[in-house]
Amino acid sequence: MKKESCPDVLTIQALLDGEDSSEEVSAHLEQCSGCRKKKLELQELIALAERLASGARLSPELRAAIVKGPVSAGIPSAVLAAAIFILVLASAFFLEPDFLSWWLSVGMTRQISIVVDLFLSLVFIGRELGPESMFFLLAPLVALEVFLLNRIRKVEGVKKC
Amino acid sequence: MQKLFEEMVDVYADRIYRLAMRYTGSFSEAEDITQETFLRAYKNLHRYDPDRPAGPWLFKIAANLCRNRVRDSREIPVDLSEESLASSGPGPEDLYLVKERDEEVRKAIDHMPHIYRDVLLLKHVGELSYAEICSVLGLELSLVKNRLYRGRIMLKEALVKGGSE
Repeated sequence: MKKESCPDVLTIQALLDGEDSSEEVSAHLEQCSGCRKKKLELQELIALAERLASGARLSPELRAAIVKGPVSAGIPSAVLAAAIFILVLASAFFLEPDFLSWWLSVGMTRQISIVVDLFLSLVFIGRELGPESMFFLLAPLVALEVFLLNRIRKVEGVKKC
Repeated sequence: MQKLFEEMVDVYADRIYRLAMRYTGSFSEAEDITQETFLRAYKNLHRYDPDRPAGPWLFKIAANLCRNRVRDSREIPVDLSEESLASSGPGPEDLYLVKERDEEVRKAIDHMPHIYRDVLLLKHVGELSYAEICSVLGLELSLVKNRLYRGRIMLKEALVKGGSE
């Protein structure tokens, strides 16, 4: 390799970083004193930049928590979502028996789609928020629903199905 | 799916933790970011293509979290407590030197424009290849090589300047 075809500094850098294994460049570096000087300067730069690296390691406890965390956050949320869903339906039925006739009047397809949509929404929200956040978000909603149904029952009285 | 996730944690957790530590300068923030990175990865695991290396994908999440965290709190805390350093290896007699050296490097990297800092940290702390850095940062190879070179020069200048003050 002649002087005019000396590799540029980025090519030498790639070689030192293990990104380029060109034998032609390596052979040239052996022969060309100018390029050898560049190589030494680059080696110094790389050695300095290696100071950025540290030997710090994640604690085994945190590592275990990371592996375990997503699984444990997902399952209780889904279970909690199912529990809240059943509670909402049950409370609606016991506090307002007429709810059942409304429910039956909307038609089977719509009933199924409402149930599936609501359940999936709760599971989805639960996965995003985690069980605790989801509980604090949904508990006031359930309380509000129970309160409203109770008011309806007091005002309208319990109707016979 | 769970096995794949465990393998990701096994291979990349320490490197992501070290990257986050360099970005934020705080062990506790680095732990938060590492946890958040893997939580997000887990939630989006269905989008991950197992035929491709997980590194660039995880480091992309981690680097975004790090940049947001640093931007949100420009006042970067120094949390190199003796306990934290002791857990990472050096004995008590080395603590002072390690702390001083680490502080010097942290200052140098903090004052560097982020386009150079990102490439340097992904290379030397994240231990990523050029191609992986391109993928994480969405840059051309030539730009990555160039920024790495310039970043290394800037780091040297900052360390020399810091050492002479």
